[in-house]
Amino acid sequence: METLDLHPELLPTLRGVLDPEVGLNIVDLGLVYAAVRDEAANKIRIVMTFTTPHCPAGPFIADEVRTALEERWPGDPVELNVVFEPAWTPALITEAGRAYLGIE
Amino acid sequence: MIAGASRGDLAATTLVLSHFVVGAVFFCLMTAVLAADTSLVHGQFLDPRAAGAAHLFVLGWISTTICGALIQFVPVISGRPLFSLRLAWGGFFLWLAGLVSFPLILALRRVDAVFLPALVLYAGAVLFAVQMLVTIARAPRERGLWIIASAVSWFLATTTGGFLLALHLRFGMLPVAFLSFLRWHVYTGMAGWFLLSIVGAGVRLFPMFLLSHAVSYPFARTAAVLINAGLVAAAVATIAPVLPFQVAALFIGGGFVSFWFFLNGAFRSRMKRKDIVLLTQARVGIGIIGLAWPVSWTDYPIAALLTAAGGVGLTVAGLTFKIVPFLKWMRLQSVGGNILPAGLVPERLLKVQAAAFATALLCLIPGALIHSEVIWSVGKAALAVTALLSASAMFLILTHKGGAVGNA
Repeated sequence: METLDLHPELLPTLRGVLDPEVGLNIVDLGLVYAAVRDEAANKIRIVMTFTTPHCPAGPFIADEVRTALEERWPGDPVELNVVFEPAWTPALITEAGRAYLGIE
Repeated sequence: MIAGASRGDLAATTLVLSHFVVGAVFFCLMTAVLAADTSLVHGQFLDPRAAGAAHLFVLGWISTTICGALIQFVPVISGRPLFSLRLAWGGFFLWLAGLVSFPLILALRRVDAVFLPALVLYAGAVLFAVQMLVTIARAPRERGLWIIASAVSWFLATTTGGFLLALHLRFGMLPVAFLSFLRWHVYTGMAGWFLLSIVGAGVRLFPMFLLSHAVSYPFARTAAVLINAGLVAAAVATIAPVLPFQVAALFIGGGFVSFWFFLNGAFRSRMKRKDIVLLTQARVGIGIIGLAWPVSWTDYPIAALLTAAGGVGLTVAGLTFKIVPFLKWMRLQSVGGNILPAGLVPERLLKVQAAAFATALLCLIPGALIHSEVIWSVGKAALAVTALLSASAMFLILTHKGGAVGNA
């Protein structure tokens, strides 16, 4: 994925969802590849990943994302796709995330 | 596709947590039995009470905990549910009945009757092994669960051997010398069941928990291949003296070194810097297992076994308190809790527990080497403190009510 398609309006809500093992929100951890709200169609589309395909917390994170968005925009259907291609790498962690994790 | 458990799969966590709780209880029981034992320090490992205490440790605590961890871990990695939750509960209750009666019969020195509880225990082991192997067989090949499958197979071999030993005590039916067979039984349990389980689970868990990148998986695969080859060599050397037993030790030692390279790579390339105390404890434990290898070349088998079992115990304790808080978190999530797994961990208590465990090892191993009852007694006391702290930490985590958590 060359660029991340992240709609600024969605980010505060998505930042409320944490990866339980890391304790960092999913946006700064780099798990969200695309977050788009189509106002005309009243539809939200999320493309995201987990740090590993075998992440035991994955289903819970996905549920949290869906619940948080549905609570913030009631009535807007949420289309959530979990992908593992491209795979998550630490390079996707944002500056804020790196500071939280204590890495250079 | 999303792999792993969903909110609807919480029923399995009750089974998994039951394994961890039973493990913690048997760890406490083991220290109580060990307190009354005076034979191990003098190298009398064939004493029935010593054997009872050893099995409370390796079966009651370590094996039960590993079984619970695999019941959680295998469905997550395979992306398939357990073959049968009902079968798993059935196996667990048989295992539990065997765990209670087997050391009890040994404590009563009724070695002629030990085959009866051994049969119950073995039935539980078989049901567990079938459960795991069928679940793994249903998973796609690329999931790489073959290391766990080999560990479970060696578990089955070890328990089969144990059952045959118990039958031998009544009917005298072993085709090979008792001590040779006993050595194979212990060796296979330690390297085939414990070490391969640690390798199989560790190859996934360490990089995942540490957010490691650039991990060298070939080192872990090589480790598993060498350990399996060593175990086959050990079996051949036991059945027919065409191969010296030391060949097995060389293979397994090589496998251990290869896994150590993998583990170091995971720690070196980790992105996670905080909350890694328990993983570091597990890493130290694995290092201690490696120390058992040179000690096993001496004439002090109990010291070598204590080193290996101590390392396995330290590793299992470290990983237990990574897994149990996560399972509790899953349950809290299902009722709307908002605390992270790390927030459930009683950190100070576990640090004291790790220190007590280290003290126990530092006393028990030299105590066994020089047959010092004083040093041995200090080690036994430290191990009892470890078990009590471990059970207390488990209780605190499982009774946690949840609560607020800060966001990043």
